[in-house]
Amino acid sequence: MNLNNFFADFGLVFLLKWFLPFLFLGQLIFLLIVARQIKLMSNLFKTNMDFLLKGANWLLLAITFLGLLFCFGSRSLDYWPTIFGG
Amino acid sequence: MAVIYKAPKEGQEKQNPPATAQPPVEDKTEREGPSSLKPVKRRRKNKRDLYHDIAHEIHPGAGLQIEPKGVKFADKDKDEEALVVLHRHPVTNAPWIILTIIMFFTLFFNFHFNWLGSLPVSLRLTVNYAWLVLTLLVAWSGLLSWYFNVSVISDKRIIDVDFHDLIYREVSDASLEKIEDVTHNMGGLFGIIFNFGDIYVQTAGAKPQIEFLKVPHPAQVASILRKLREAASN
Repeated sequence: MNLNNFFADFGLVFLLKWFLPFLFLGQLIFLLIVARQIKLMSNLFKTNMDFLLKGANWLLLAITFLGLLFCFGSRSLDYWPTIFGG
Repeated sequence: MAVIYKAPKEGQEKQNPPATAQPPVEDKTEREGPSSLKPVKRRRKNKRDLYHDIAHEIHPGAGLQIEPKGVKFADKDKDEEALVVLHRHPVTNAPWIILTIIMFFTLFFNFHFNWLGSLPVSLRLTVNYAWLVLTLLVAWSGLLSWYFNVSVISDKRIIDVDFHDLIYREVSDASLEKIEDVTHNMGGLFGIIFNFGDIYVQTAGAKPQIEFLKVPHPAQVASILRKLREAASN
Protein backbone atom coordinates (compact mmCIF):
# COMPACT_ATOMS: atom_id res chain seq x y z
CA MET A 1 0.00 0.00 0.00
CA ASN A 2 1.37 3.36 -0.99
CA LEU A 3 0.65 5.56 2.03
CA ASN A 4 1.86 8.72 0.30
CA ASN A 5 -0.95 8.44 -2.21
CA PHE A 6 -3.48 7.03 0.25
CA PHE A 7 -5.74 10.10 0.21
CA ALA A 8 -4.61 11.28 -3.19
CA ASP A 9 -7.82 10.27 -4.93
CA PHE A 10 -10.18 10.86 -2.00
CA GLY A 11 -13.75 10.81 -3.25
CA LEU A 12 -16.79 8.57 -3.74
CA VAL A 13 -14.79 5.75 -5.30
CA PHE A 14 -12.26 5.85 -2.49
CA LEU A 15 -14.98 5.78 0.17
CA LEU A 16 -16.87 2.95 -1.49
CA LYS A 17 -13.75 0.86 -1.86
CA TRP A 18 -13.22 1.03 1.88
CA PHE A 19 -16.83 0.97 2.91
CA LEU A 20 -18.05 -2.07 0.95
CA PRO A 21 -15.84 -4.75 2.56
CA PHE A 22 -16.84 -3.52 6.01
CA LEU A 23 -20.49 -3.50 4.96
CA PHE A 24 -20.29 -7.13 3.84
CA LEU A 25 -18.39 -8.05 6.99
CA GLY A 26 -21.07 -6.38 9.12
CA GLN A 27 -23.81 -8.21 7.24
CA LEU A 28 -21.96 -11.48 7.71
CA ILE A 29 -21.65 -10.93 11.48
CA PHE A 30 -25.29 -9.94 11.65
CA LEU A 31 -26.37 -13.12 9.87
CA LEU A 32 -24.19 -15.25 12.13
CA ILE A 33 -25.88 -13.67 15.16
CA VAL A 34 -29.28 -14.31 13.54
CA ALA A 35 -28.33 -17.96 12.89
CA ARG A 36 -27.52 -18.32 16.58
CA GLN A 37 -30.74 -16.61 17.56
CA ILE A 38 -32.79 -18.88 15.29
CA LYS A 39 -31.21 -21.88 16.96
CA LEU A 40 -31.92 -20.52 20.43
CA MET A 41 -35.41 -19.38 19.55
CA SER A 42 -36.30 -22.81 18.22
CA ASN A 43 -36.20 -23.98 21.86
CA LEU A 44 -38.85 -21.41 22.70
CA PHE A 45 -41.04 -21.65 19.64
CA LYS A 46 -40.71 -24.22 16.91
CA THR A 47 -42.96 -25.17 14.02
CA ASN A 48 -42.62 -27.33 10.94
CA MET A 49 -41.24 -24.26 9.14
CA ASP A 50 -38.09 -24.28 11.26
CA PHE A 51 -35.88 -25.96 8.66
CA LEU A 52 -36.94 -23.35 6.10
CA LEU A 53 -35.76 -20.55 8.37
CA LYS A 54 -32.40 -22.19 8.92
CA GLY A 55 -32.02 -22.93 5.22
CA ALA A 56 -32.87 -19.37 4.19
CA ASN A 57 -30.40 -17.98 6.71
CA TRP A 58 -27.61 -20.22 5.40
CA LEU A 59 -28.44 -19.10 1.87
CA LEU A 60 -28.18 -15.45 2.89
CA LEU A 61 -24.90 -16.18 4.65
CA ALA A 62 -23.55 -17.74 1.46
CA ILE A 63 -24.69 -14.76 -0.64
CA THR A 64 -23.07 -12.31 1.77
CA PHE A 65 -19.85 -14.28 1.93
CA LEU A 66 -19.80 -14.27 -1.86
CA GLY A 67 -20.07 -10.48 -1.74
CA LEU A 68 -17.13 -10.28 0.64
CA LEU A 69 -15.09 -12.52 -1.64
CA PHE A 70 -16.11 -10.37 -4.56
CA CYS A 71 -14.70 -7.27 -2.84
CA PHE A 72 -11.28 -8.88 -2.51
CA GLY A 73 -11.49 -11.06 -5.58
CA SER A 74 -11.96 -8.18 -7.98
CA ARG A 75 -8.52 -6.76 -7.29
CA SER A 76 -7.36 -7.88 -10.69
CA LEU A 77 -9.94 -5.59 -12.29
CA ASP A 78 -10.12 -1.94 -11.31
CA TYR A 79 -11.42 -2.38 -7.78
CA TRP A 80 -8.34 -1.97 -5.61
CA PRO A 81 -5.87 -0.10 -7.79
CA THR A 82 -5.09 2.71 -5.37
CA ILE A 83 -5.26 0.91 -2.06
CA PHE A 84 -3.17 -2.12 -2.93
CA GLY A 85 -1.30 -0.54 -5.80
CA GLY A 86 -2.84 -2.95 -8.28
CA MET B 1 -87.71 -83.16 63.60
CA ALA B 2 -88.33 -79.60 64.01
CA VAL B 3 -86.23 -77.20 62.09
CA ILE B 4 -85.50 -74.08 63.92
CA TYR B 5 -85.04 -71.16 61.64
CA LYS B 6 -82.81 -68.51 63.03
CA ALA B 7 -83.54 -65.13 61.69
CA PRO B 8 -80.35 -63.39 60.80
CA LYS B 9 -79.37 -60.41 62.77
CA GLU B 10 -79.57 -57.03 61.20
CA GLY B 11 -76.68 -56.50 58.82
CA GLN B 12 -75.58 -60.13 58.96
CA GLU B 13 -77.50 -61.17 55.82
CA LYS B 14 -75.46 -58.92 53.63
CA GLN B 15 -72.20 -60.18 55.01
CA ASN B 16 -73.03 -63.91 54.84
CA PRO B 17 -75.57 -64.51 52.11
CA PRO B 18 -77.20 -67.93 51.90
CA ALA B 19 -75.64 -70.45 49.55
CA THR B 20 -78.74 -70.62 47.40
CA ALA B 21 -78.75 -66.90 46.81
CA GLN B 22 -77.66 -65.45 43.46
CA PRO B 23 -74.01 -64.59 43.28
CA PRO B 24 -73.70 -60.94 44.07
CA VAL B 25 -73.18 -58.60 41.21
CA GLU B 26 -69.69 -57.21 41.40
CA ASP B 27 -69.83 -53.64 42.39
CA LYS B 28 -67.19 -52.00 40.28
CA THR B 29 -67.10 -48.78 42.16
CA GLU B 30 -66.60 -50.69 45.38
CA ARG B 31 -63.83 -52.83 43.86
CA GLU B 32 -62.00 -49.88 42.38
CA GLY B 33 -62.43 -47.98 45.57
CA PRO B 34 -62.93 -44.29 46.05
CA SER B 35 -59.40 -43.53 44.89
CA SER B 36 -60.10 -44.72 41.32
CA LEU B 37 -58.68 -42.40 38.66
CA LYS B 38 -61.52 -43.03 36.22
CA PRO B 39 -63.81 -40.19 37.24
CA VAL B 40 -60.85 -37.84 37.52
CA LYS B 41 -59.66 -38.83 34.07
CA ARG B 42 -63.12 -38.35 32.63
CA ARG B 43 -63.38 -34.95 34.25
CA ARG B 44 -59.95 -33.97 32.93
CA LYS B 45 -60.88 -35.13 29.43
CA ASN B 46 -64.08 -33.15 29.61
CA LYS B 47 -62.13 -30.11 30.67
CA ARG B 48 -59.78 -30.52 27.75
CA ASP B 49 -62.71 -30.93 25.39
CA LEU B 50 -64.16 -27.79 26.85
CA TYR B 51 -60.90 -25.94 26.19
CA HIS B 52 -60.92 -27.15 22.61
CA ASP B 53 -64.54 -26.14 22.13
CA ILE B 54 -63.74 -22.69 23.47
CA ALA B 55 -60.74 -22.38 21.16
CA HIS B 56 -62.85 -23.34 18.15
CA GLU B 57 -65.24 -20.48 18.80
CA ILE B 58 -62.87 -18.32 16.79
CA HIS B 59 -62.01 -18.93 13.16
CA PRO B 60 -58.38 -19.24 12.10
CA GLY B 61 -57.08 -16.54 9.84
CA ALA B 62 -54.15 -14.33 9.08
CA GLY B 63 -51.78 -14.45 12.06
CA LEU B 64 -54.09 -16.68 14.07
CA GLN B 65 -53.92 -20.46 14.11
CA ILE B 66 -56.22 -22.79 15.99
CA GLU B 67 -54.67 -26.02 17.26
CA PRO B 68 -51.78 -25.99 14.79
CA LYS B 69 -49.87 -29.21 14.31
CA GLY B 70 -46.20 -29.56 15.09
CA VAL B 71 -45.91 -26.51 17.31
CA LYS B 72 -43.43 -26.74 20.15
CA PHE B 73 -42.92 -24.02 22.70
CA ALA B 74 -40.93 -23.34 25.85
CA ASP B 75 -41.26 -25.99 28.60
CA LYS B 76 -44.07 -27.77 26.82
CA ASP B 77 -45.48 -30.69 28.79
CA LYS B 78 -46.12 -33.99 27.04
CA ASP B 79 -49.86 -33.67 27.46
CA GLU B 80 -49.93 -29.96 26.74
CA GLU B 81 -51.38 -28.75 23.47
CA ALA B 82 -51.34 -25.37 21.81
CA LEU B 83 -54.91 -24.17 21.38
CA VAL B 84 -54.27 -20.81 19.76
CA VAL B 85 -51.05 -19.44 18.24
CA LEU B 86 -51.03 -15.70 17.65
CA HIS B 87 -48.69 -13.60 15.57
CA ARG B 88 -49.03 -9.92 14.79
CA HIS B 89 -51.58 -9.23 12.09
CA PRO B 90 -49.81 -9.61 8.70
CA VAL B 91 -50.80 -6.08 7.70
CA THR B 92 -48.43 -4.79 10.39
CA ASN B 93 -45.62 -6.08 8.16
CA ALA B 94 -46.48 -3.43 5.58
CA PRO B 95 -43.62 -1.01 6.53
CA TRP B 96 -40.78 -3.46 5.92
CA ILE B 97 -42.49 -4.97 2.86
CA ILE B 98 -42.89 -1.51 1.30
CA LEU B 99 -39.29 -0.63 2.19
CA THR B 100 -38.09 -3.86 0.56
CA ILE B 101 -40.08 -3.17 -2.61
CA ILE B 102 -38.71 0.39 -2.80
CA MET B 103 -35.16 -0.90 -2.35
CA PHE B 104 -35.65 -3.48 -5.12
CA PHE B 105 -37.09 -0.87 -7.46
CA THR B 106 -34.16 1.43 -6.67
CA LEU B 107 -31.88 -1.31 -7.94
CA PHE B 108 -33.85 -1.60 -11.19
CA PHE B 109 -33.92 2.18 -11.62
CA ASN B 110 -30.18 2.22 -11.06
CA PHE B 111 -29.69 -0.29 -13.87
CA HIS B 112 -32.10 1.54 -16.13
CA PHE B 113 -30.85 5.11 -15.60
CA ASN B 114 -27.25 4.12 -14.92
CA TRP B 115 -26.91 6.29 -11.81
CA LEU B 116 -23.52 4.84 -10.94
CA GLY B 117 -22.18 5.24 -14.45
CA SER B 118 -19.19 7.24 -13.26
CA LEU B 119 -17.88 4.35 -11.14
CA PRO B 120 -15.56 1.63 -12.42
CA VAL B 121 -17.44 -1.43 -13.69
CA SER B 122 -16.40 -3.87 -10.94
CA LEU B 123 -17.10 -1.34 -8.19
CA ARG B 124 -20.50 -0.60 -9.70
CA LEU B 125 -21.30 -4.28 -9.71
CA THR B 126 -20.17 -4.67 -6.08
CA VAL B 127 -22.26 -1.68 -4.96
CA ASN B 128 -25.34 -3.15 -6.65
CA TYR B 129 -24.65 -6.53 -5.09
CA ALA B 130 -24.24 -4.98 -1.63
CA TRP B 131 -27.50 -3.10 -2.11
CA LEU B 132 -29.26 -6.35 -3.07
CA VAL B 133 -27.91 -8.11 0.04
CA LEU B 134 -28.97 -5.16 2.20
CA THR B 135 -32.48 -5.36 0.71
CA LEU B 136 -32.67 -9.08 1.45
CA LEU B 137 -31.50 -8.48 5.02
CA VAL B 138 -34.17 -5.82 5.59
CA ALA B 139 -36.80 -8.29 4.43
CA TRP B 140 -35.27 -11.14 6.43
CA SER B 141 -35.10 -9.20 9.71
CA GLY B 142 -38.70 -8.01 9.23
CA LEU B 143 -39.91 -11.53 8.58
CA LEU B 144 -38.04 -12.99 11.56
CA SER B 145 -39.32 -10.27 13.88
CA TRP B 146 -42.86 -11.13 12.85
CA TYR B 147 -42.35 -14.88 13.06
CA PHE B 148 -40.72 -14.97 16.50
CA ASN B 149 -43.01 -12.43 18.15
CA VAL B 150 -45.52 -15.05 19.06
CA SER B 151 -48.11 -15.69 21.71
CA VAL B 152 -49.37 -19.17 22.50
CA ILE B 153 -52.50 -20.08 24.41
CA SER B 154 -52.23 -23.70 25.49
CA ASP B 155 -54.62 -25.80 27.54
CA LYS B 156 -52.53 -25.03 30.64
CA ARG B 157 -51.07 -21.54 30.27
CA ILE B 158 -50.43 -18.55 28.10
CA ILE B 159 -46.94 -17.84 26.75
CA ASP B 160 -45.72 -14.60 25.24
CA VAL B 161 -42.43 -14.57 23.32
CA ASP B 162 -41.12 -11.12 22.40
CA PHE B 163 -38.25 -10.80 19.98
CA HIS B 164 -36.79 -7.29 19.70
CA ASP B 165 -34.39 -6.21 16.96
CA LEU B 166 -33.21 -9.82 16.43
CA ILE B 167 -30.97 -9.50 19.46
CA TYR B 168 -33.19 -9.20 22.56
CA ARG B 169 -35.89 -11.59 23.57
CA GLU B 170 -38.28 -11.87 26.47
CA VAL B 171 -40.44 -14.83 27.38
CA SER B 172 -43.23 -14.70 29.93
CA ASP B 173 -45.92 -17.18 30.78
CA ALA B 174 -48.74 -17.63 33.24
CA SER B 175 -51.06 -20.51 33.98
CA LEU B 176 -54.69 -20.12 33.01
CA GLU B 177 -55.74 -20.10 36.65
CA LYS B 178 -53.55 -17.08 37.32
CA ILE B 179 -55.27 -14.89 34.75
CA GLU B 180 -56.99 -12.14 36.66
CA ASP B 181 -58.12 -9.59 34.16
CA VAL B 182 -58.21 -9.46 30.38
CA THR B 183 -58.36 -6.12 28.60
CA HIS B 184 -58.29 -5.48 24.89
CA ASN B 185 -58.17 -2.34 22.85
CA MET B 186 -58.48 -1.52 19.21
CA GLY B 187 -57.60 1.73 17.62
CA GLY B 188 -56.30 3.46 14.57
CA LEU B 189 -57.48 3.35 11.01
CA PHE B 190 -55.76 0.10 10.09
CA GLY B 191 -56.71 -1.55 13.37
CA ILE B 192 -60.38 -0.95 12.70
CA ILE B 193 -60.22 -1.86 9.02
CA PHE B 194 -58.25 -5.08 9.50
CA ASN B 195 -59.58 -5.92 12.97
CA PHE B 196 -56.42 -6.13 15.02
CA GLY B 197 -55.48 -4.72 18.39
CA ASP B 198 -53.74 -5.27 21.71
CA ILE B 199 -54.66 -7.62 24.55
CA TYR B 200 -53.40 -7.05 28.09
CA VAL B 201 -53.60 -9.96 30.49
CA GLN B 202 -53.21 -9.16 34.17
CA THR B 203 -51.81 -12.12 36.03
CA ALA B 204 -50.92 -13.03 39.55
CA GLY B 205 -47.48 -14.16 38.42
CA ALA B 206 -44.07 -12.56 38.70
CA LYS B 207 -44.74 -10.48 35.61
CA PRO B 208 -48.04 -8.77 36.36
CA GLN B 209 -49.00 -8.09 32.77
CA ILE B 210 -48.64 -10.11 29.60
CA GLU B 211 -49.21 -8.28 26.34
CA PHE B 212 -50.34 -9.63 23.00
CA LEU B 213 -49.70 -6.72 20.66
CA LYS B 214 -51.40 -6.09 17.31
CA VAL B 215 -52.99 -9.52 17.22
CA PRO B 216 -55.96 -10.26 14.95
CA HIS B 217 -59.49 -10.49 16.37
CA PRO B 218 -58.61 -9.08 19.81
CA ALA B 219 -62.20 -9.12 21.11
CA GLN B 220 -62.69 -12.79 20.31
CA VAL B 221 -59.28 -13.78 21.66
CA ALA B 222 -59.95 -11.85 24.88
CA SER B 223 -63.30 -13.61 25.16
CA ILE B 224 -61.60 -16.98 24.70
CA LEU B 225 -59.09 -16.11 27.43
CA ARG B 226 -61.89 -15.20 29.84
CA LYS B 227 -63.73 -18.45 29.12
CA LEU B 228 -60.56 -20.48 29.52
CA ARG B 229 -59.88 -18.78 32.84
CA GLU B 230 -63.38 -19.65 34.05
CA ALA B 231 -63.04 -23.23 32.81
CA ALA B 232 -59.65 -23.58 34.49
CA SER B 233 -60.80 -22.17 37.81
CA ASN B 234 -63.88 -24.46 37.96
